[in-house]
Amino acid sequence: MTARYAVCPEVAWEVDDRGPDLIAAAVVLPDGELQVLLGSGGAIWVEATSATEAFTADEMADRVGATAQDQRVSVRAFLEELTALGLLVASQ
Amino acid sequence: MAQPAMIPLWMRMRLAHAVVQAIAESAGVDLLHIKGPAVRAGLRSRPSEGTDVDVIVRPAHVDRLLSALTSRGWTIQHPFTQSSAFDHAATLRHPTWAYVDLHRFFPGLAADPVRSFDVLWERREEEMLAARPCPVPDVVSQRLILLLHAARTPSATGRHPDVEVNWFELTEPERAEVAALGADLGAEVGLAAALGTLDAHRGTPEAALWASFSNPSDRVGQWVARIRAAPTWRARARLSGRAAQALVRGLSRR
Repeated sequence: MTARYAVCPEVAWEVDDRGPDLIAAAVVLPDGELQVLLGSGGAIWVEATSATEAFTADEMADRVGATAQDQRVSVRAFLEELTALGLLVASQ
Repeated sequence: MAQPAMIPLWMRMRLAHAVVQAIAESAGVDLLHIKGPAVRAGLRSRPSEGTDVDVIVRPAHVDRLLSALTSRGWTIQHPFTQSSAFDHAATLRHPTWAYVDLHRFFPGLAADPVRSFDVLWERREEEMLAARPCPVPDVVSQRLILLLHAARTPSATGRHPDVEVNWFELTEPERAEVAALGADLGAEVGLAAALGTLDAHRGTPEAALWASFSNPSDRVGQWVARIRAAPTWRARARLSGRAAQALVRGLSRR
């Protein structure tokens, strides 16, 4: 089965797209550690928070334009990392 | 992941509001977010995300919130008795989320703090901060709070710019709403101080206290006004002792 991801409902987050580099910051409430996502990581977070339904790693890779195989592998690994941190929840 | 120190202050403040809200909810605490990003857009003379998280807490829940915050890494920097002439707020600090100013009442709302909070709570709205719904005072209450805060904050240019936005630029019906809420919550003297009409209350200890804020360097004058405005002899005696200690502390820092 392919994992589907969604932003954990217990997460607070903000995105700063005013500067040259996109910055996302998120924390699992009430007392998780502050996580900062820059560049492509921030872009993936923006896409994740704007998704209207759970998404697969391949769908996210498509959304952020990761076409090369190594890029798609990186997207999948990043989503797994976010899940381990509690920022995303995964379901089958 | 990048280092948390890299994020702008405004992001950290909005996240901190959400964190404090989540802790309050987990502890069963009612609070209202004020100032900084909690203020409705357009009510500040210039946008400010603030440098700390300001909240007003239901008086009966203050100890519960203090306990919840300190058990999660906040430490008390200034207890209520060191906050201001009103003893209204305690300041707590967290290594990630910086400062929280925990108000047990708001200076200028002279009505019973329990009732004042009830009235503000009944009128509350929600503001999304860091993607989390946080309860905030409604617009009329926010205007009143900003005016009372302005009355305690001397402006180099005379009238505080927030007074322009939240009173002089309002329509008559809008002003009437703010004034009515102020009257209901016993804020007439503080409101008069904000609007420059304190003479109408001349001779009262409360007016002298608010007038003393126009000269923040006059610490002695503020303490004298504060002692005179205390409601009981016991309170005046207690304040007199603290005034002596505070003024000695101030001299020793020079």
